[in-house]
Amino acid sequence: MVDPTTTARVNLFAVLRTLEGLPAVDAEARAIAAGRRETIQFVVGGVGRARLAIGDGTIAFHPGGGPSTITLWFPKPEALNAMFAGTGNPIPLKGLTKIGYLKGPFTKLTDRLSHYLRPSPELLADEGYRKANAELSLHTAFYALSEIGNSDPDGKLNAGRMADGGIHIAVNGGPSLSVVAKGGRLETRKGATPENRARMAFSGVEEAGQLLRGELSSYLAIGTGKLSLGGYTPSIDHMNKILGLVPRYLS
Amino acid sequence: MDTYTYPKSRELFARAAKVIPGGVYGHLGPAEGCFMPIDAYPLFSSRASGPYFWDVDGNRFIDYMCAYGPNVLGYNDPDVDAAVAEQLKDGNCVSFPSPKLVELGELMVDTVDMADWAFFAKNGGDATSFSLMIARAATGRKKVVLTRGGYHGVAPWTQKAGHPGVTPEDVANNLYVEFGDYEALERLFAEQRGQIACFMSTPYHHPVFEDSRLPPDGYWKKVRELCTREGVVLAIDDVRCGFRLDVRGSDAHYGFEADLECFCKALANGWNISAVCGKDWLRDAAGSVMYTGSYWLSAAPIAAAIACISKMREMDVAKVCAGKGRKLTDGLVAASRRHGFDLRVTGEPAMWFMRQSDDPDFVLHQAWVAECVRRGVFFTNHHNLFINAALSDDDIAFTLEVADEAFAQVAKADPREAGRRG
Repeated sequence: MVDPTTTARVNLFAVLRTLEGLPAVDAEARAIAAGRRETIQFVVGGVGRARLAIGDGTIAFHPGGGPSTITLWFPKPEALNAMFAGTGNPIPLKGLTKIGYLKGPFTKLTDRLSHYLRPSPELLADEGYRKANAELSLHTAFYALSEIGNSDPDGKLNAGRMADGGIHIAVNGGPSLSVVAKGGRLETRKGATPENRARMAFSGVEEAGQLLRGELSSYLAIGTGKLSLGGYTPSIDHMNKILGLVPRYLS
Repeated sequence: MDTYTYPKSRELFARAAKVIPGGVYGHLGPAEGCFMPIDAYPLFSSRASGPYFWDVDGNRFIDYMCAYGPNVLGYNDPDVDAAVAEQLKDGNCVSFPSPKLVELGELMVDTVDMADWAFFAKNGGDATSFSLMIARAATGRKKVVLTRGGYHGVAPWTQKAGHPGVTPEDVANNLYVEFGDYEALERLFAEQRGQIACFMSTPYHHPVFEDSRLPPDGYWKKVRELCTREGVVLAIDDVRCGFRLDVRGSDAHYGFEADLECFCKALANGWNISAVCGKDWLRDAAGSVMYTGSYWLSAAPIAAAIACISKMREMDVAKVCAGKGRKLTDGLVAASRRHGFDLRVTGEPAMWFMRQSDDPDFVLHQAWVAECVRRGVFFTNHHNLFINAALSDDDIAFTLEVADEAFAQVAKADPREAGRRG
């Protein structure tokens, strides 16, 4: 069962956050990020706030509220989910004169993200696309994992079983993230953290992409060494139960 | 000492992965088996004999997992296998049971102290699920008290809420206490008075990842009295420990008497059969529960169980395994100390659990176990190990030699920091 509040948290704090990585892999995103500076604030009833700062060649995601040039209000989680599904529109609270930016450059950015997160066999034939898809999918999936662990009923049960400490998710020759548990709540961070007690290491970006796209089963990846595990194994076991819920929220 | 490689295992795994989910699933597979790092481990065996198995690359291992328990006399025990061969001449899976069924029932009642009757199935999980159904049928109550971290099989009711394929309703009647905490159990029984059908527990606590815990002094006597007072069926899951601690049942080993006792693993030295033994007052309830399976009364495993129990009684297998276990674990601890490590051993000697002290993230232990496996001693990282009666003094000596070299290898480069960083 998919919980709408969890879906909204995933959309706000995982999918939207992945825009951060887009300029590094996509020329159009780089061009937009190099243009006019705007800070878009998302206010979602029952979920929280987050801001995207676009400009100076970068896209930065900031959880929580703060100064913005555009503020979009979603009265309930379902409203945010409708926007992500393309079936609803936000209510602008600030920046009414900047609707053109939202419909233009910002929409282009989200289209480019969808391009990389929704692969087709034709797109995957390109090595550069496969790499971008893998890196952005990894980012989305593991940020989504923490939101699911903190919000979805089954996710919370499994997060509650994780001992305090982090799991380092590393890709040989690619990015790394850490999922840190404390008191049954999860937080995803970039890179390694001192709290890490266990590791989940992909042998390469290609293998990470295959697993995240469902082309490679995790059990098979473990058996063939494409995914190696080590350290405080019980936490990995519990985290994997949450990882198994991620496709429900991202599909 | 040369270390092993596994090219044929890898080839076979690639083939398996195309037609079998996960390649090798469950506890014998690399994920659930915690094979870390994977390159230290074989994935398929080709044959087994006594305390050894050989992998498909021809590497020999002393097997301290004993197929996760069933191998108690030694693989391919000649007496057990001869009984099976003899039975197969007469038949196996037939429309009516063989007289051997009655013979095994009588032998179980004669062997297991608490048993007034015996019922046979195939796996340990059949026995635990059946026991719960008997308790519910007998008491008209629906709840079951389990110990946290206890393992009773893979049926949905034995699993955790939030796990794949498990609904909240599957585990809605489960209540949990810490093993050995009598006061907590007493409080729970009082809070849930009249609703608890069954308290199910292993005779001592042998979870994965954690030290084993023996029952505190007087614990089982008090639990027995509490269950009797509250009308709760006391079911002992002796699937893993049964016969290895005491051929009379592990309740007898710890000085109490269960109402129901589940056996599997060592019952037939690897032939597929499990059993529930029970007290007279539960006989009618057991008979009232519809519970059966296609192969449950097949004669060959029954013949194996008769031969295995007879041999275990004759040699006092529990005493033999405990003695070998003590000798081995004392040697392993000594080897660790020679290299500046502190191997901690808990549980019963015939099925001990071990880990390194000062290793909260298991990195040292995983490195050491991997070095042992590469040299022909098969341990797993986070599950209890098992002794079988075929293990010789020479095997123990070889194991200790390997353990010593493995500790030396781990001492060369402390893997803890690297392990955490990935």
